[in-house]
Amino acid sequence: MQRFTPDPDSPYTIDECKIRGRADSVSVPDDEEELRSEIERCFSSKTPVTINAMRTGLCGGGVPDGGEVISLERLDRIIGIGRKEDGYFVRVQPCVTVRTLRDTMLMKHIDGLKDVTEGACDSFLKDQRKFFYPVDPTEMDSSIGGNIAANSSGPRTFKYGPTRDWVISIKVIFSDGRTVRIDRGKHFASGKHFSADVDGIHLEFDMPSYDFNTNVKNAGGLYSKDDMDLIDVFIGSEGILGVICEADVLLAEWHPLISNIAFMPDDTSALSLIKDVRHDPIIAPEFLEYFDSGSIDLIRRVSDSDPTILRPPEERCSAVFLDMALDDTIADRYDRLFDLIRKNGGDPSKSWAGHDQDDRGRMFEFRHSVPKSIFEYVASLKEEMPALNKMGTDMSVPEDKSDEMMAFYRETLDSFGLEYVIFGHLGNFHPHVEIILKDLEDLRKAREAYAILAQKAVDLGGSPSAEHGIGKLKRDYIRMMYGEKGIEEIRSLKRYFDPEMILNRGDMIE
Amino acid sequence: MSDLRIAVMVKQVPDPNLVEISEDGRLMRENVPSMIDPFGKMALQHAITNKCQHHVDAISMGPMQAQDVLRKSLEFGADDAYLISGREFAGADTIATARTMAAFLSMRDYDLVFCGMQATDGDTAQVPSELAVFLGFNIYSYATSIDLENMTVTQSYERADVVSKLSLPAVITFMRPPHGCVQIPSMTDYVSALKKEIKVVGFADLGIRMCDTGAKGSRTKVKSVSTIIPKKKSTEFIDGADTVSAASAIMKEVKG
Repeated sequence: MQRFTPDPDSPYTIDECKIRGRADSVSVPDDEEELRSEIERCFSSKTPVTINAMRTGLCGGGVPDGGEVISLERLDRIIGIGRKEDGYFVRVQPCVTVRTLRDTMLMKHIDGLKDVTEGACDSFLKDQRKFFYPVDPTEMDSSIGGNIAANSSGPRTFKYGPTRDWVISIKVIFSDGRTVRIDRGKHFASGKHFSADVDGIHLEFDMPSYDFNTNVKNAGGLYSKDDMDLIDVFIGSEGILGVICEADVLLAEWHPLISNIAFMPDDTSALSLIKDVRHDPIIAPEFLEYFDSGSIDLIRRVSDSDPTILRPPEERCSAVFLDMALDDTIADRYDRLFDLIRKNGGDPSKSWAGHDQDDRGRMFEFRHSVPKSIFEYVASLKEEMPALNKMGTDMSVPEDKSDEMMAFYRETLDSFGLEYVIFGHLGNFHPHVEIILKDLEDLRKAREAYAILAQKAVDLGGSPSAEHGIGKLKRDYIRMMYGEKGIEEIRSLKRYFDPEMILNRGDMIE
Repeated sequence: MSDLRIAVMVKQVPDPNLVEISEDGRLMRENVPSMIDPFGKMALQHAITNKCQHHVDAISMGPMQAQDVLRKSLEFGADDAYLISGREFAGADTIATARTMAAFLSMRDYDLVFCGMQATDGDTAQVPSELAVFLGFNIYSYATSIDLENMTVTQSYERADVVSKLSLPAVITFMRPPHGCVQIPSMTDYVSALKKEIKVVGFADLGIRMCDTGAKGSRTKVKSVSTIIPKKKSTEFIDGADTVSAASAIMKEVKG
């Protein structure tokens, strides 16, 4: 196992939120056994431990505040394949990336993988169907372990749900080194109380008394529901209760898709098209995103300097991005889509459709150029203003409150005189509002505005953290959602699993 | 000029970023995703950008899988698509390919034939000029833009762009996509393409002889392929303003 003292600018003390932490040491275990003994060593010496994988988080969850960083980067193996009912699941180590898992399964490059259930690999190879891991957190280089810890979701959550829905088994190392495998469907709470014997370990504890909001896309705080499954205690727990060292995730049957970008005259017409399309049974979109006119202006500017990025129409417009299944009914789907585009003032002949890898890849880059250019912009200002960080919202609200929240974003940010763009997952009523900061005064205003927006999302029955989690950046919203009582209940549960409070200290709660 | 008939020659090639060359110089196409040749796609983009009331056909020669690039061409807005396909055409070199395609083109009375300046798999750049010879068409090579309203074509020479009056019928080879061209098919073109058939043209349809096509009609055979490291050469530019003195300067160089 490699162990070293990180430099002040070490990649192990920062993640994609661009906040720099500090650590006394970094260890990189070669296997699960080394990981377990390193956690035990930290437990004995009461050394705080921050778990790192691909460091693609956006809330500082993997940013250490002293102590040791344990990087899981060498636990990056796909272990094997198992059969489950009519489909398959894959057993992975935590640092397998979403991209690796998806590509390996789609291309069936499974040489050397083990049978987790008898004859599964052979059956998988001979199966005429193609399979893939359907959770798409946008960041394809994020790790499966990180995704499970954060219950990641993304644009495809609209069709496939969040990570939680695809995890059927996990192996968890507690802070004292004890290890358990938890299979979905085996252990349930009675109300909020758990009493279960798992791998020879008796677990008895109470979940927080709040009811976790599942009416909206939500990644804020520990999942807690009456009669819940034990596995769900750890999914989305941000690593504060234990370290996931192995997981079984389900695969979905793959089918071809066609991507579409409908350019609409303005924001109102684009939002109206989304409303019409969202529940349309003929179109049945599998991915639904919105780009306001400011986002399209931004892409136009990006394409000025980078000709590989598709250029949107020259006239000011907004856009709706949607994927549909490419099957025998595609002509009917388009008939319906054209009607709805025209009804809302758009023109299908000026909108795009692409189904091959090249076209869909370029459309994805087009979409991704909005957050990417904002990341690059913030990074470019960081040298001059180190305190600056990216300010993007991650809030979801129920469907019937979507219009009210959208209007509130604009009203609030305009009143602060801030520049912003709105884009993203309108399928789940979860747009990203990226505030374009020019200086530290903007940052001060943005923080103030952000708190107002988060409170509004909660008041409307939504979540201030729909998919990025809480980490260290959004701890205030836990108080907003669950109050002091909720925080104390989360702390009490953490103390049960992690009595020395060493794991991912500072994440979710102080 | 109104109602021109334009043929666009497109080719299916293996993805140049993924294909490898075997020890005997053969392109290893197996399991490599194929795509529309980038230069042929540029020719198509010029045709579609200038389409207006003109009729655009996409034409390819190759195995049945090449229908994919024709389907793609229809999605980009081509009116019709033809695949020249059959075992008799297998193994054709550039001259046999050009003879075969010319036989098809001459049956359909085209005013313009748009090609990429070369294909990225063979890189010979010979087929368009051979086509022009067999069809008896003018040829404008290395075009960067075309204006079918004013019937002009702009060609890129090393140090200058030359704008010429377009004289029909003509073969034009393109080296770059048009400015502001269609990059992704429109939804309406995609749906129109769904309803169109790709017509397959076989040996019997063309009225050509076996000895003019396929391996039998080929005059060349690839024995091996190797990477050449170019030697350094010096270039002297001769001022061509005074043609007589320029010609005598060249003669002096040639004769030594």
